[in-house]
Amino acid sequence: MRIRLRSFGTLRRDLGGDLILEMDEGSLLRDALLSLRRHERLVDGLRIKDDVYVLVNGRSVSDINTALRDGDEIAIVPAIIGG
Amino acid sequence: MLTEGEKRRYARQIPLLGIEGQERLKGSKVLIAGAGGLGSASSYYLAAAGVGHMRIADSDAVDLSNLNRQILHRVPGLRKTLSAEETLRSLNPTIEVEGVDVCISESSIDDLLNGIDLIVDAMDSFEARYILNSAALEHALPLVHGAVSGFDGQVTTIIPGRTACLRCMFPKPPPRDAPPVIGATCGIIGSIQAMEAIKMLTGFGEPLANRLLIWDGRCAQMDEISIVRNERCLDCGSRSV
Ligand SMILES: [Zn+2]
Repeated sequence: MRIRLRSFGTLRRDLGGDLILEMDEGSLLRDALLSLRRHERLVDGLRIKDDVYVLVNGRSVSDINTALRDGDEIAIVPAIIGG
Repeated sequence: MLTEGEKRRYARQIPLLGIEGQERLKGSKVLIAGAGGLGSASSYYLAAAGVGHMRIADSDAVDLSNLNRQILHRVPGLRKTLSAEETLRSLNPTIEVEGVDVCISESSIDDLLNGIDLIVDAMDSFEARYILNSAALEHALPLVHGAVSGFDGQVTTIIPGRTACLRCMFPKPPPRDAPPVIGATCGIIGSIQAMEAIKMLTGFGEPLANRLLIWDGRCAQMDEISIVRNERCLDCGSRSV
């Protein structure tokens, strides 16, 4: 199945920007995230780091074991805090 | 009703907004939540545009290190609300500017929202932003979220009952941080917040509803992510759409 993965801001260069991932049926969010070079920017053990937000089809997701489906879009956004 | 002086002052935007739109701005009350970098840029443009009543809340004094980005302020040591009042009143003497020297908290927010039509989020922590988010939902007020870090920033407009809320997008607060920031980043994001506020108050254009705009200043690139409301959101989940 085909998953689109976009990363933004300071994460874009580390993670590769706008990617299309070819993945096996039944893959989980963690499979997509761990397939990225420099995935240590995102994932700490088996949880998403506190300074990163991951959205699947526009919904914020905290469970790294979320199942993916063909056509899903993952967005990875660094926490931006300042005012 | 606009005075003749106001018609002249706003002559270059009345063709866009109409007399009616300009009168709506004059009749509007906006809360600028925070007189830092974002609050500086957004309040400047909203005051200049003729928002009739600006309430600006902050509980800090100006520090020398604020001045690379907080263009409301000139004099270290002065209360930020005083400094904001002075700057905005001299920029536009026809509007009311009200500085409120208070920390935004669950106990202060309801008074701060008294009479307010729209909130500009210019806070520097998600703990404070969640207070604004809950209060915006509670009072059914639009909330224009903005945040900055380094060369980067983000903006979205939260419309209770119509869009995802801040908690839908960012369910947990990130670790506290005071990131370095280029002043112009605050200018870009704060200006977009002012634009969103003007659109919401006058009814013009398409707001950034259910869209998170992300500015990457290093590459000068603007992207957007579509956002979907979370039915189980802690803050807006139990409210009807
Ligand atoms: Zn929500």
